[in-house]
Amino acid sequence: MIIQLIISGLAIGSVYSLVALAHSLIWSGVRAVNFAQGEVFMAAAFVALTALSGAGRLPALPFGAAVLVGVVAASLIGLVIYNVAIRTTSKKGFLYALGACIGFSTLLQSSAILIWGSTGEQFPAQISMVPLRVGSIFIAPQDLFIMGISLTAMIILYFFLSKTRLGTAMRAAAQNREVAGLMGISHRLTDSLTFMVASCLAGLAGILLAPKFFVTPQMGSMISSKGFTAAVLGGFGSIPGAVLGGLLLGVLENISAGLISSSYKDAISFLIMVLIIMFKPEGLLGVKGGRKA
Amino acid sequence: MLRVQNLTKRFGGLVAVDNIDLHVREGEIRGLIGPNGSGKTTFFNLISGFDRATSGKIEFMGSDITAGSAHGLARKGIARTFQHIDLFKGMTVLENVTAAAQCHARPRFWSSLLGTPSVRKEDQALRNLAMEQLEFVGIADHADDLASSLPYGLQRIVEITRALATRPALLLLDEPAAGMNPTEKQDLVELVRRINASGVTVIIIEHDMRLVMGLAETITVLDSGSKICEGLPAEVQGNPRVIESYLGSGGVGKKQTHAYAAEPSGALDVSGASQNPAAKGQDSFILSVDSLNSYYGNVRVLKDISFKMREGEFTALIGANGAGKTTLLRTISGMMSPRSGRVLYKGEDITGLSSDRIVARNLIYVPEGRGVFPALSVQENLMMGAFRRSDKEAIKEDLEYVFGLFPRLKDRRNQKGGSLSGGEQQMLAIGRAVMSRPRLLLLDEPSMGLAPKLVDEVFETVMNLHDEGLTILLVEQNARAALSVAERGFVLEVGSLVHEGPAAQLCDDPAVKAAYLGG
Amino acid sequence: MKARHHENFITHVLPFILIGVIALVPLLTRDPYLMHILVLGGIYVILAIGMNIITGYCGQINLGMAGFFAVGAYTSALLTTRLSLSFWLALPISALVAGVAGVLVGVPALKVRGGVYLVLITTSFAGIVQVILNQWVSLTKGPMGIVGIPAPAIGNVLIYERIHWFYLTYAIVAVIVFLAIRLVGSRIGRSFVALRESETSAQSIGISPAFYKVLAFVCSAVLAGIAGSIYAHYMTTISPDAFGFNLSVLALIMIVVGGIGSIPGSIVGGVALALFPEWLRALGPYQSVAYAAGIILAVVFLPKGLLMMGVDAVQLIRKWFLAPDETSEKEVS
Repeated sequence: MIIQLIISGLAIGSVYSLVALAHSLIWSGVRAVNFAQGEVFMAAAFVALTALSGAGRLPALPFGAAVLVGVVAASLIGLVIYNVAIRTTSKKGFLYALGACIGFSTLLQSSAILIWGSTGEQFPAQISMVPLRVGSIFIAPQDLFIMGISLTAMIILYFFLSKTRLGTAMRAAAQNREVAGLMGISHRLTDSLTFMVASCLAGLAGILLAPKFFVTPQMGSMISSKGFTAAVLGGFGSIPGAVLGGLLLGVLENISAGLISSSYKDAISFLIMVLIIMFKPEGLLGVKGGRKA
Repeated sequence: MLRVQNLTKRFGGLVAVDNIDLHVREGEIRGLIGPNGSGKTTFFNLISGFDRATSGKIEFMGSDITAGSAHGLARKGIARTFQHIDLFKGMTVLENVTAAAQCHARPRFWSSLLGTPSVRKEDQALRNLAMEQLEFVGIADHADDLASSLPYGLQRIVEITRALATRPALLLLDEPAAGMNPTEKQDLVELVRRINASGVTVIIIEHDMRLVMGLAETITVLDSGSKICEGLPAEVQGNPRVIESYLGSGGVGKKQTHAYAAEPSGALDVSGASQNPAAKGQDSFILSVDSLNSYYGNVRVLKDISFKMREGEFTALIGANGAGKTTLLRTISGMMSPRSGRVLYKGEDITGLSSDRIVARNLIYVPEGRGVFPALSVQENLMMGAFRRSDKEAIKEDLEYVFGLFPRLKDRRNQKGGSLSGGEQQMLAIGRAVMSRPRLLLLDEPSMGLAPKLVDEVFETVMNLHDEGLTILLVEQNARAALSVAERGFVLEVGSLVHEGPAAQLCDDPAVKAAYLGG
Repeated sequence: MKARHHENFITHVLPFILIGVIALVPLLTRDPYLMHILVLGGIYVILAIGMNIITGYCGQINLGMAGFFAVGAYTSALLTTRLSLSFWLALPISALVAGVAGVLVGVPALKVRGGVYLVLITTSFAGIVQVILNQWVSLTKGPMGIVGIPAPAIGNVLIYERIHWFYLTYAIVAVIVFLAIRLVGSRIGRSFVALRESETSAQSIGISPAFYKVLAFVCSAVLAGIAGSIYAHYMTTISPDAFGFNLSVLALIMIVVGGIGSIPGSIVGGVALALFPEWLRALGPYQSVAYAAGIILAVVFLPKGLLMMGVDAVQLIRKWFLAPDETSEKEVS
């Protein structure tokens, strides 16, 4: 029973990890927070769904292509959010960036309602729903699928950041923006890139989670806040921390829902957030006394 | 009245304040000096409760205040100003001072909400008190001006007034004269004397030596967190340890003489009068700076700086902390924009270009504090230097070249930049700059925080780079070391170029010492 | 001295002129729908003033206003429906309970450095309140909400008509505006602003950050609680989805649009955000998209807020028509 809870917790946790990675990448790279991340997540799910089922004269695409379309759409939205909401307000202060991002999240939600309606749609399952049986444990193939894709995405991210020139430049800019400029690394390039990569991750998370739940215009807000909790739990701005925080949050949530009561499941995330901020603000893997959030 | 015993403050591995004893008598004006990074401001932070001491004890008027909170100590009678002006910008001058005048008043929430007569009377008294302070200082005319709208010198005075309004027994002034013009400094000296005469004990951190030597009865000198000397101004000025801590020691042994180093270049334009660069044949100059003026906010840091450098030259720019050396390099390299003046690089106007565009022209700046990317490996750091280049083969060759220059970096190529020692980080920063294929290299304080042996090593490499034909502009606080390697030297004093000459001559010039320690 | 008079007018007189203008609307039209919007606007104004005290004056970003608002609304609703207390007793009690919630959020928030963590901790608080409202069914009736919240009475007159609510709301708004102006003009308000401008400097002149930050949290929570209580009795029915994250966001947008750190700005922001969606009604399905776009534009292009934009415009017009008798520019050496 408990192992089963842990495994399905890891599946949802890996999605949290992707969203947390998006938050942490943006924080460490651009010193900004995208409070519209949840809506990027939602928009990608809708776009992928539309691509999958076809719309008007556009043919229905296979699942892989639909994922690609959704992720690309997400990264473009991220690019727009950076250039309109973040860059323009960077000198005015955090409050304005926050306000502009929230404006974007409202904009994306209401656009989604306009295009796809407010009731939401079912995302067709891509994987057999018949649970696998290993010993006495039942595992949903879909959970394995989610974990597998998330893991792949994380490995690709790792290679991008550590092995490519642009990825290294992004990390360099995250560590010291000024000096990165002295290396000839343009801030606009790395900042835009960071937002696009982060939005890809958030978008992928949305598409992965879509078949598990209904796709609705409101699906993003809760996920975004879970992503924040996961990122803070692991250490805000830390890449491995985001992965760990997401998995841990998924498992903790699932276990408490399974063993105690599912009605307070969402409160767990908020409670973890408050406790971590109060007692271990640097998170599990963050650096103590590091840069202030 | 203030008794500090064995005070120590560590930040991680760094000892910022090292076992300091200090006694300040009631009614004294005490000067606190020392080169950059010697722990003066940290010392203030400890006394005023903004930092907690690692060990040691602070006694103030007979009571132990080692563990006091900043706001609690303000109420006990310790007021301070800040190195970087920190006014309440959105408030008027009067409001700024009134906020401090209410230091000893209770909040009186309900009375304030209802506006009872007693609280109104009290509020009026607070405002009057603030107004009296403004009159005492002589800035009552500006009471209704927005604090941020005032010129810089006046903002400093407002900050002092605000501190005074808490009616302190001890006033800590952190570089109050920074950014002031000579008249303002004169007024400041007079003001501090009057404050002192009204019964306030003053401790003052100041880089303007003439000012602090004239003001304080006793001077305490700190160097890398320790007290190295204490005494009358004249004693301190003559103390060899003090001179060494400011001007640096030794220098690299081998000294080359270059053909054109001995003859005056005539490129330096001390007067700042603008000249037509074309008339002087700008083509032969790799860098020519023309009446450059740079500001931080309202502070004019560079005042009509003009100079020129020829291709292949090795020039040292020296001057005390706060003279504007780093600002000059930051302006040239595009990290900040000048308010007026021009920077020509190989005849092209690069004034106001962003730093990544300037880097593309092979003008490379190695910043103060090295700027190593701590979480990138040594090799990744070096490769970032070559970010804009796409000639893979040549990059590989250059990497080997840098590893040849600094074999230690080769051994540590996979180690994280942040795990290197200070000297290794400096080598990495220079190596990274070499990877950018510089034509002109700007080096900012490469000796800072390094042991003398490492300083020699770093400077020797810089000399080798120069011997291979690189043009170098070196900025150094450690004047002796810098002048021992460079051909030509400029001396910068509070934003102006005041001397230039062949390095060997400047080395023994008493005027250089005066620029650091006052005359 | 002129500048001071001008300042004085904006902080002490303009707010009451604004309220006066709104109070005159029924002379022109008594359209119940407009009255409804304006009552909501009045409730928003109270919320915006609370938001401005903590965020605009004290500089602590608070995205948990919906939580305090909900605490006020539910306390009042429960006290009147379960214990049959009068509205006039329930109102101060719900303000008090919300104030206690303010301490509960303010104290942990002290440990937090920087805006992002403050946003996260305050949203978490509002999130926890939201979960409690939905899940503690025996107390809150869960997602169904509480119905039949009684109308308040003045003497024997029951207040249930829109126009009565209109006058009642704006009477309360006027009192709150009066007290808020006193507060922000007092030494406490000065300490709030000092903390916002520079916490270090504030400490150096004896201002305790802990005391004043918690006080600011309590003040804003109390106001949100009052707004919540009025809302509950006005709507007569409340359910958890009225107190979601969007409401906290709305409070933030109100002060950004109206004017950060300004009481008259709060009035403008509160009423504007009640009216704005109505103006866009003509756009039909595009209403909410245009609304969001408007907010983005306002945040990016109106950094001083609508109120100061208006004031600046008036000054510009005056300069055009009057001879240039005042030279406001100061010489900079």
